[in-house]
Amino acid sequence: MSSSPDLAANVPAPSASLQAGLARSLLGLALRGAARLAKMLAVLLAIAIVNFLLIHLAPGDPATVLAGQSGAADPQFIAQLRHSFGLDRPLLVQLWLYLRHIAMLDLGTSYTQDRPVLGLILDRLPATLLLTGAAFAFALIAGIALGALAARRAGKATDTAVTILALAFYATPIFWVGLMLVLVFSVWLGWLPSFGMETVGAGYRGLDHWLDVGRYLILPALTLGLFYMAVYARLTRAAMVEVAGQDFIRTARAKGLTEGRILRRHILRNALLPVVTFAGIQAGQLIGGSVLVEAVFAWPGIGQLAFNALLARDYPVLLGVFLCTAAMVVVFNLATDLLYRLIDPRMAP
Amino acid sequence: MSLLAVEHLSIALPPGGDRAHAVEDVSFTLEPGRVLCLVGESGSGKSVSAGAIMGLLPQALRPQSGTIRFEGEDLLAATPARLRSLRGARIGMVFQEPMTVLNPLMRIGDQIGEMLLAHRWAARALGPVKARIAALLEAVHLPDPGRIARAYPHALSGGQRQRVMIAMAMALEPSLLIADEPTTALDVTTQMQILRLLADLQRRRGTAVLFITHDFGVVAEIADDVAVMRHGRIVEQGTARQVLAAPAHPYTQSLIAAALHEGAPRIAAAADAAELLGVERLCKTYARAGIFTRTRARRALDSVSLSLRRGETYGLVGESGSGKSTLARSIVRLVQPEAGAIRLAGVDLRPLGRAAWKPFRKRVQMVFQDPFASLNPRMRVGEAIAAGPIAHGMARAAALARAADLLALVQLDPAAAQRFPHEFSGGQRQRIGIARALALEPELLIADEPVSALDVSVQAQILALLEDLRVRLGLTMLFITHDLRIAAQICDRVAVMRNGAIVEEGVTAQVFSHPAHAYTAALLDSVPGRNWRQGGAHG
Repeated sequence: MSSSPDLAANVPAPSASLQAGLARSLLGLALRGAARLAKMLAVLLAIAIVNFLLIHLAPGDPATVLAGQSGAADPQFIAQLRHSFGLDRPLLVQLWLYLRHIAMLDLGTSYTQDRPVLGLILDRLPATLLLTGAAFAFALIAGIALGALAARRAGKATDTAVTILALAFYATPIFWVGLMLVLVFSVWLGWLPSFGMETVGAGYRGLDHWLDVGRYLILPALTLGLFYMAVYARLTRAAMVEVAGQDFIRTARAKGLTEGRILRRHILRNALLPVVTFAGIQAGQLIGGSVLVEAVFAWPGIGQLAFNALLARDYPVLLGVFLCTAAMVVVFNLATDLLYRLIDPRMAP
Repeated sequence: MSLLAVEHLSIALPPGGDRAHAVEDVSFTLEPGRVLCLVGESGSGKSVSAGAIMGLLPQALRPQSGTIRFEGEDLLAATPARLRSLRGARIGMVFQEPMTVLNPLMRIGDQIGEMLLAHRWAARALGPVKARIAALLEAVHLPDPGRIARAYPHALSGGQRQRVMIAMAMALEPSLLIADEPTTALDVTTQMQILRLLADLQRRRGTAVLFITHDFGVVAEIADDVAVMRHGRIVEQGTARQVLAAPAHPYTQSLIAAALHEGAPRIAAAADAAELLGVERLCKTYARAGIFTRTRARRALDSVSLSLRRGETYGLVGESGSGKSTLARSIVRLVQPEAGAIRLAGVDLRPLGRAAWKPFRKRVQMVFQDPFASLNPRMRVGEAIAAGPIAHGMARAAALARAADLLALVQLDPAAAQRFPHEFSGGQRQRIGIARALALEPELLIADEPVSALDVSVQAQILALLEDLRVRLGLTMLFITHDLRIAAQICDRVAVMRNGAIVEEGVTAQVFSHPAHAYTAALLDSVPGRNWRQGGAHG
């Protein structure tokens, strides 16, 4: 890698024309940003097309469902419904219209609720973000802490206990964990509410309202977070054990540092790189990942919206949720990349 | 009183190993201000001995008996906290792999500063931390210490990182420095710079150095005293002068012979043989291109020309990054050069398509540096050797039978064909690598650093095998190495590469005794133990 005179380094040289260099690097940054944005939009477009085609491949359409619900299933009524939704036009024409609309941020109108899809999603978004955000934070903090504990005591009883715990949560279906938590903490102990997002009709305001929501949040957030906590714990443990065997840890010991400092400053920091990568992937699923938990706990979020829309074949709502989820994944991917550049100097341009 | 006295030290290996002790009944002393070289090959127990002094042994290894006294204090009886306060402050350490010994996420200055903070009491007398860091980086001759202190390790070359390690090890002016193969992973010229730096610091500060190495050339360069280890025991010790001039133990004699490269006299190729391989004005640029990003280009090959005659061994020497491997890879088409010609027996290979190239593929084969990485770990050795002939249309049974013959040819048990690569030692794996290359009956064998990952005594065996095969099979060989001593031993002619270009070429003895280019002279000057070797050769 290095050339022969090892004094001639590739350390960034102090530039005489610092400003010109700065301008050039800013321009480079802007160009790279533009390239990234173009790629992101292309990915979103592709996802929108695939979603649209997939959903039209599924058997049944909204007209038959609606007609079934109203009890009048004569062919003429169904044809009329299809015509009013534009479902009788060729698929490619429908696709073209759909893409044109989403380009203008118009996600269409719900067939069943007769409201703009964007409004429906924005109504439900805060509840979902609260739930998944809380679960994410819990999973990350508890997972890294448990993983670090296990790695520090690798091979001992604590390590085995953490590993078994993590494996148990990793292998158990989410809805079952949810049901058990409800059984223990609301049915038997009566400590926490089992469904909904707030006490209906209590009319709490300000801090009381948030404390109330917090009590409702605990069980669903735990349910959703325990699985990811298990993943982070395993990931952190494995990464720390690996880093602990590397040469620069031996250097740190040879410097006479305390074990605590070696763990914090040298092992943990390096071990967090793979954890960040995975957390970035999970953060992208903040919207879409909670369908099951929202169903179990009757949490009024996007997941429930999507679930109901699926049963009703409410294409515009379903597509809207999908697109939203996809956008979230793409945005968090970008955020992870940027974060990575901050924490790992080797990735910096 | 000795600064360091190791007495009757024994360290057991975990049960099930190939021997009972990593280190057995080892005793040596190190006086203040002297340099003791602990010499041995891999597995001899030299690094374990150093680890025991620092209290940095792996969990599985525990000293069984003996004492280690440092400044009168028994280190084996010391508490972990006491050892920690000695490490870094009184005993500094430098390791082998400069590329991996620094934390990649921490600035250089912080890594040194962290150590000064850990030993606050010792560091206080030496002035403010920031100024101390700059002074240390300057003392190891790093350019622009302020900038280096702010840089992350990846921005530094291997030699620079090793300088940082030395700065760190010397930061608190320890009375003992343990250097574990500190120059083995470096290029020759860098190695010599680091050796001179260590010797200079050692002299100025009066630090005692325990220097661990496998290379008697390095010993000749810096040692006052020598202890030779083999299989966990010290087989010979004495002053450097005494051991180098008159080694008493046969093992020491063989190591010294290997360092001097006193091989059998070789049968030179005919000087008037026809050309087998001709490379003409070959150019290769590595570029990292993007649509929006600026292209960064690096010239790996800059109009390189050379000519190999049938039956000769042609050496290509140079340091890392000089383009030697790119040239070898271009010849076997692992790399696509953008200009120039590669002629094999008069046919230019570069314009040929895949199909037209295939018959030539058989005629040029390659032996790689890392024999483990170049063998598929999930493939039995016999299959790996037979894969080439089968791809070229040989019947499977015939190819497997031939693989067994080839294993015998490289002096391995033909039964080895049924085993997997991890079951072999480094030297055995390289024999397998050679058998694999010979399976296609090539005319030209390209050996890319084939022995640089091996112990010296194994190196000698592999070189002897290559020489024997070359003569018996009438091979032509392109031998790539960074080790001038090896090139001098086995090559008829040699070319010196630097920054993608050949700076000098000629008959080996001529080039090495009367280098025409300044760089060749600098390379030769950097070979450790050069003066000792010349003295040895003449008397």
